[in-house]
Amino acid sequence: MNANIVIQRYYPHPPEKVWRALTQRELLAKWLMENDFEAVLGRDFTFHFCEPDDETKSAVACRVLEMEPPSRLVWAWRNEGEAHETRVEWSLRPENGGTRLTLRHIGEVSDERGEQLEAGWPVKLEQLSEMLEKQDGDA
Amino acid sequence: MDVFQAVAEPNRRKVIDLLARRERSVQDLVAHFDVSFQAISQHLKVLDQVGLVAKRKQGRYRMYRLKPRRLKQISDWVKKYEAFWNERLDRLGEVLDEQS
Repeated sequence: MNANIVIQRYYPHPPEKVWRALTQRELLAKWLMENDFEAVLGRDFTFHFCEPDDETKSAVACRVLEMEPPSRLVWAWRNEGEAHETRVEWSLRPENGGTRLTLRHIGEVSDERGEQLEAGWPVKLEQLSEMLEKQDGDA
Repeated sequence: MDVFQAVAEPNRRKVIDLLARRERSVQDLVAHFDVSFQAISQHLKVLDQVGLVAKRKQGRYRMYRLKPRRLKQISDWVKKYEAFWNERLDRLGEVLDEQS
């Protein structure tokens, strides 16, 4: 089953500059994670990070799926230990001399422990409503 | 259709609300609405397709129940990545400002 989040930000910098921060290895490392990114369609790359709570190192296996400088970039994204590949879509739109950046992260939520446990789970409808209101707000 | 689109429709959200309390037949659900049996049946089909409800046969009735675990999984996933990306996008803003 798919889940997704959409986050929008405005940065007072032109799309070309934001694009560099999304596609240059050393800039990506500054705000996202250490990586071996290369701006080549179809190229595999990896993000490395340390979990903040301990010394554990973890990795995210990625791939460049789409690339249209300086407006659209799509990565395949799979956290180490997770079964499903997810999709991270970046869209950059010029706005008032700056950039409207939209991030969409689409994921497959797996059901590893089976459905026999379902009956015992409390319903979290308020959480769902909260989530949907956010989605509506972002749309 | 994804789960977000599935629950965006007000009548489907009401169906979820009703099923959150207990398992119900289609007939039972229809009694709470001003819409047709077919309409509710269609809504249940959508909720079934995205994995939010399960159905079973009891005599001549189809009984539906909610699968709240799915809701929790989605909610957990969204929370995790929302927090992660918001923090990183703040940092991206700082990196961009430093470059000027």
